[in-house]
Amino acid sequence: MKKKHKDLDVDFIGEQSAMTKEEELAISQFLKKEKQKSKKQSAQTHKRRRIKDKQMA
Amino acid sequence: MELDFEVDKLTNSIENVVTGDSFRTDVILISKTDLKNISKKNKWLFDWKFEFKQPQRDVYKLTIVNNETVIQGLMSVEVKSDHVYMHLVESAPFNKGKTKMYAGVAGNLVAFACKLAFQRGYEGNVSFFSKTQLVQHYIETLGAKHVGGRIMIIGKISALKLINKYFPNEKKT
Repeated sequence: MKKKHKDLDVDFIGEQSAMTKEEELAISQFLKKEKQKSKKQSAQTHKRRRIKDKQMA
Repeated sequence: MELDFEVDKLTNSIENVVTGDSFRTDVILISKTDLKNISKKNKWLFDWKFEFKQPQRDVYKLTIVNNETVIQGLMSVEVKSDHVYMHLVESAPFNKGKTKMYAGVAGNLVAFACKLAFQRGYEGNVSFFSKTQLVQHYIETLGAKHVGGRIMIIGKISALKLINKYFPNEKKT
């Protein structure tokens, strides 16, 4: 059976107007938060794996 | 706008919408000569000469392999301090609307921006601006996140998915 999927269907993306300082800051803050979240998740996964390994030993 | 259709276009290629034939593509930096025929008079929407003149922006063209003179689409990007900002993407006039010749132009270019963002060490993070009515479409088709206002961001996982979809034979750096 073929999979139904949505594909990008636009003729153009973006605007020719410049990015404001506020927008630049919002992007940087969002990326920082995402990085922290991903670090935290990765640390939790490692911790869980260590506990599991200990239990197995 | 047709949003729901079956997709099997899983290579860095564009597809002739009439014949269904796929053509492999290249994405390369545009030259001054390329710009000669890119104008509003020739039904391009954006001012690409202006983009080309901006020193901090790089303008890329998508072409079919071995046919570098016919531009299928254009993209203007800027490498910021923590991500790649996609200023503009535009399909060539003959690839727009219901009578378009090739499908997959914009997707190819967005995936290329994600590849650039990995190459620059930004974990594939790409930002761009969206019109309000297209926010949901970008969330569904690109896996982009709406940060607020007109800002959209393609993160690491979505970037990897797009690269795997459009550039399946290339390794991430």
